[in-house]
Amino acid sequence: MKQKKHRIPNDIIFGMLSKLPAKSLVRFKSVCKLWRSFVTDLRYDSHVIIFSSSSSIQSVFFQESGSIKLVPLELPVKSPLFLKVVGACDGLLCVPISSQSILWNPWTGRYKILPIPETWSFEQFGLGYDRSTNDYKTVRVKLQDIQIYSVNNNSLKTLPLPWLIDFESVHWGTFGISINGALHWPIVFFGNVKTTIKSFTWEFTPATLEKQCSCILRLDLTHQQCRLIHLPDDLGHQPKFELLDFDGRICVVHYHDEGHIDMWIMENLEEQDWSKLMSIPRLEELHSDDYLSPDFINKNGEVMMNIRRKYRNRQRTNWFCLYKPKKKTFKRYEIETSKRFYQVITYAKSLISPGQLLPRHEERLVEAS
Amino acid sequence: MAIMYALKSSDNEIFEVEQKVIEQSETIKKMIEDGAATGEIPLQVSSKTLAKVLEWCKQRQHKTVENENDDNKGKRKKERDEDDDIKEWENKFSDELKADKDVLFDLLLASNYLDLPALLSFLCQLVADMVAGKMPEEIRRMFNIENDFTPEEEKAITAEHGWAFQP
Repeated sequence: MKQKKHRIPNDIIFGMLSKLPAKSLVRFKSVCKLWRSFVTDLRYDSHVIIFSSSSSIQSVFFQESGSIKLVPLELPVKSPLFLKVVGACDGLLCVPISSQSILWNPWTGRYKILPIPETWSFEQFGLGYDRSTNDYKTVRVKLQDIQIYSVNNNSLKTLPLPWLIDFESVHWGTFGISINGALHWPIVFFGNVKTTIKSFTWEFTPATLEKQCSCILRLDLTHQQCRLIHLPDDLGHQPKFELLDFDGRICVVHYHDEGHIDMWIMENLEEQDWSKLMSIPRLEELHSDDYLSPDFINKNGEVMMNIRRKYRNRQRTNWFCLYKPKKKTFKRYEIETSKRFYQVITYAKSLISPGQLLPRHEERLVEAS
Repeated sequence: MAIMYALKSSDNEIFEVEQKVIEQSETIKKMIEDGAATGEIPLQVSSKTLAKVLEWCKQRQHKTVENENDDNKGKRKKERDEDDDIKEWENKFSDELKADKDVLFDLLLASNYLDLPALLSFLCQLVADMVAGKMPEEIRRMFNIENDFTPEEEKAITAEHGWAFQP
């Protein structure tokens, strides 16, 4: 057969590969060395939002026309009675299923069963990555201690907290935000400092914080170190705020009672130096019971937000809004569905499969090698 | 009267096209702006491929003009009907390309050379849909790629990602 020689430029090949499903992508690592490096270097900066309702998880696609396409993500195991995502990191989700939990990459469909009971999900939770040991860790924070589960070692460690804290989340169903190997939660600090605790290092002078004030709890997973981070001074005493990951930096979303939002970026962690990224005005057409909740900032600096109802945190969100700071305009995206959604989760998809994950529908635990 | 331009293919065929249609190509737009495009615009694209490029550009142009003329009333319904029409047209366009891989690859190169991001993205998706699920050996044949792995290296990749190689 006569075959015409095609020399397709590398950037076209790269563009094509980025549109492939996960399984083909991983398979094509063995085509040649160049393709292998393409797949290894592929990063998805596109933020994906997923919705979880009590019985299903859906991936959200924003269409140019202003509509939203929902694509259901098939859970690899039988769905629990009430579905809740308790952690997200590097394209992996942690989902409790009755007496256990799964660590799941919804894009590749690969998952691993973790011996973490559902009751953990009633506490403040988080999923993070420890670069020093190439290990994913799930963390539960209770009032007085922190439990860290290592996925690689299948081991659990409990660390007492040196302070008395409480969690202050604006929404139901939030979890610790994973940024650069550390987890972050919005908390209220009560100022009660316990005496020295062995096996636990913490670096912070609580005396500089007033009693009962809002701040950020940061858990460094590599050093297993906890510290408290001051909020920007402008936020006042006990503000309504939550946290986002902005390009690997902590972003504080400050909700004003009047309906507008300020977004702050951590410039320097050591000096706890904040700078204001932008202010988002109140959206006039919004019902007085509703408010905007930022989900992510895209590469054009625009903020995607979902609309929530005050007082009833579990109220479904049925539309989104993209705020364009340059023009100060809002673009509306609507969902046509009768489903009730409780959680909005932002993550970037990845090919990551930590440890030895099981393929779909193969329900047995693999011994850690 | 619409401004017309004459495009000359690599095999010396002339295509008369409206300015608005060809300005989708950043490459041609730049040539026009630079004043390099007096008389015929010579392009390193065969007539067969150029015809396909223009087919795409005309369809896109048609879509943009219609959207501009819309008023808000009944826009949703109309958009949905239009979406169906575009889908149908795109399916036909895709089927023709899938049947002739040489044209498809030439068109990919042309969309890159003419800087038509929408067409390039569309074709990348088309190729991705065609190759998804295939085995590495089939991919090497399709793209004329030489396997530069040693058998041991290839085996190691297959072993590491066993799940991805199952049908």
